[in-house]
Amino acid sequence: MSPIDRLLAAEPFDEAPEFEPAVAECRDVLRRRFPRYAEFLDRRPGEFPALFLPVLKSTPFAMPADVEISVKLTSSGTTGQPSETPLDAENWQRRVQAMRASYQGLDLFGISMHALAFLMDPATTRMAGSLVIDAVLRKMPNVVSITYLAKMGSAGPEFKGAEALASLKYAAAQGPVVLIGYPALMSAIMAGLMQAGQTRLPLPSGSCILTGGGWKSFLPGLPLDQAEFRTKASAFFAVPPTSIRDMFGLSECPAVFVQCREGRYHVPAWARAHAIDPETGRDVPAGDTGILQLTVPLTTCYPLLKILTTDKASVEMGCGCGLRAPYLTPRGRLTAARFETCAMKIGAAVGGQP
Amino acid sequence: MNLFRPATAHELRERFVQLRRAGRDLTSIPLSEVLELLGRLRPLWQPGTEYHDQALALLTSPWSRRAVESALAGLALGMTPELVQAGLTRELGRIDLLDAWEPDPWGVGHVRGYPLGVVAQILAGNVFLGGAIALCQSLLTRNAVLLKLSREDSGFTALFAQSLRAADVKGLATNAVTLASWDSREETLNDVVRSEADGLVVWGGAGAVAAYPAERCKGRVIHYGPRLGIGLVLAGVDLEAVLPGLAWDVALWEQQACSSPRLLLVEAQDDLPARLARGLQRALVDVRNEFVPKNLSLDEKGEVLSVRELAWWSGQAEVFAPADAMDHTVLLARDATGQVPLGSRMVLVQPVANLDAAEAALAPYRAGLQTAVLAAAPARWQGAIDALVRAGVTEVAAPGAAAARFLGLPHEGDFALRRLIRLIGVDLGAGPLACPGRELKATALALKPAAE
Repeated sequence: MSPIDRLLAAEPFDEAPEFEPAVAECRDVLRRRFPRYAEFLDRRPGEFPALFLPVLKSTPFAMPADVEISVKLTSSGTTGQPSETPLDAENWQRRVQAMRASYQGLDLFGISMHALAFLMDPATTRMAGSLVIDAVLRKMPNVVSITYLAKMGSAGPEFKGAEALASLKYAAAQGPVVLIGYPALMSAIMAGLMQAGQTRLPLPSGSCILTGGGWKSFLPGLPLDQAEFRTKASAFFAVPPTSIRDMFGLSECPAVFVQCREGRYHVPAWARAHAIDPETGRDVPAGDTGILQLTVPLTTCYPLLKILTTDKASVEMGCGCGLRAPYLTPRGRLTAARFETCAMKIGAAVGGQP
Repeated sequence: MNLFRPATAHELRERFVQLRRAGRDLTSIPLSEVLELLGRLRPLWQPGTEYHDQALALLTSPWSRRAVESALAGLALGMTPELVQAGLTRELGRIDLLDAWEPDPWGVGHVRGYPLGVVAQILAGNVFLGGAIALCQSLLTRNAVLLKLSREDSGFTALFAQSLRAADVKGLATNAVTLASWDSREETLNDVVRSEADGLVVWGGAGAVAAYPAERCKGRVIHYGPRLGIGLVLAGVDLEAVLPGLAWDVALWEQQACSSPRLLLVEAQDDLPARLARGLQRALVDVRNEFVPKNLSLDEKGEVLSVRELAWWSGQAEVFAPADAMDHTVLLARDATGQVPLGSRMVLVQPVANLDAAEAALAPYRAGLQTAVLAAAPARWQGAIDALVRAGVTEVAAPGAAAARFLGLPHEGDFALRRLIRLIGVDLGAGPLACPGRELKATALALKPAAE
């Protein structure tokens, strides 16, 4: 068993001694496969630099001959041009396994349930959220069925509230359900029913809600507050607040950060999360907001080992849920255009930053 | 001075009615009284005064103390009666243009300047002096003014207006000035401005400019922005002598002023572009002592990091920057990139073969050009200016002086004060096309300035 596979087999939220050997293995493979990445690693001797994600969008790496791509994941592109993550079969399986292990480590999907996916049907999209969740759900023994309530059409996302509601009612009549996907779409269902005078739609006991992405910009003009959503959804669907969890992730990162019952996004054993001051490259004090840097030694077919994201976050230890793993708190995205002044706007007018 | 926050279009329209009335009163005030008012205002802005201290407290977070002190000193200097008179004479052609009819040598044709009426100034938040300058310009041209503050306004415009009120012991101008604020997305209010203002001066970004297109506005529309500050450095220049000035121009307004250089075109001879990039990096380190860099936000740091990293990864530019700080970055482009980074003392150095190539390199930015800092040997200035003007530049400054003047020089191709008045002619008639046998001497005499 390779160090990477040993790491994946570790307890999901405990300290894993396999982490550093896995990093070394991953780095060695990437060095060999991506000479430009090796040059980047050697740029400043003694340092292990993180790849800043905007780089991947503008200058993607050429794929080496020994990598056979089986899937290309895309980001949602809600904050600009979508990025693309190519994966071979082995790395794809690791990603699915990692997410499945995170779910299991948090005791999710402990009983049989029907999945109602408020996600684009994976047959119609390459968005990472849809593809990875679909693959994970299919591997979860307690997931009896999966129904997709949205799809990517030729003109963009398509979501039909009435059809989704009918599917939801049908599934709920069979037993516990898991609503999984974009909170904006779930909100749309609740809003539609409330407008029609229905204030509740209790789901069978044991049901749960797993949200992911789209808190700010999934639907134009419909910003969502996570705490408010949790309160509303809990009352509307009669699901305890502790059974409403959010997932934080990005298409470039094989680790997904799933909320514990206390609402904290714990960092699994195969990841290291740091909140970084990009000026110094060092961690900001615990609890302070920095740029989220992730080291995840699970991808050997593309240089995603250590990435500096465009997300702001804080990282802390000591959650009341009992897990020993640190947890991160997302604090929004970096925004590029700071002031709409005459000297700033020209940047956009003439083509933006390099 | 209270900030006017109109809730309805009616309220705003009413304010225009009041301003129009006050503007008529302002028209009859002689220049001497306006100069007197500025003369009383000037001492209020000397170092150590209450207003000066308040302004320092307001402004030294976004700007360095040195920049704020210099700007306030420049503002006070600009209110010196002698300088105002010299500036007015230069901008308007004659100092009494708004006060008296000037006859031609035959006493037949007469010319005089009239204010536009009520001028709305849509202010930007990039440089804090904008509102104060707009106020002074309105006074000098005897226009009533509605200043719509930017949402990023520092508070300085209100402070300056307050000082004007304190100095306006005769109550000449107070009623002719309104400081207003509303959400720029409030189209019903914007529409009132478009339909009521006799003059509209729009400062700022593309959004502000697009909101007030000339064809939808009743009055004269003057757009200032958005702009890209550039520089041109030519072979033969004494590089070491100009580097401190270039760094000064980059740092003074943190590249938020229209004139702040962000793109430097450098003649590619004797390794000049690389020498300049290295030297400018050093000069930007030194200028930290004059203009202490502000603390960058996480967003700004992210932006600087992306510029530096993308330059390295794309191979489009070599990065000259301190490894442990993000307060400035010099990028030496390997080819024409067509992309200029934003703010945070980031400068793109682009090599060009000669003046013709510089002119061509500026073509994509033509609509955004205004000020060029020119670093060249004296003998090359005229040729360089000609090339810059052909490219679309309207102001040329020596290194270290990109944002030094605001009165007495044209702004964007014309004198700003002249744009705020209308030249009116009175023709008593002479020559073969005039009806003969008329007696108009008495009228000519009546139009003659009283002093004559």
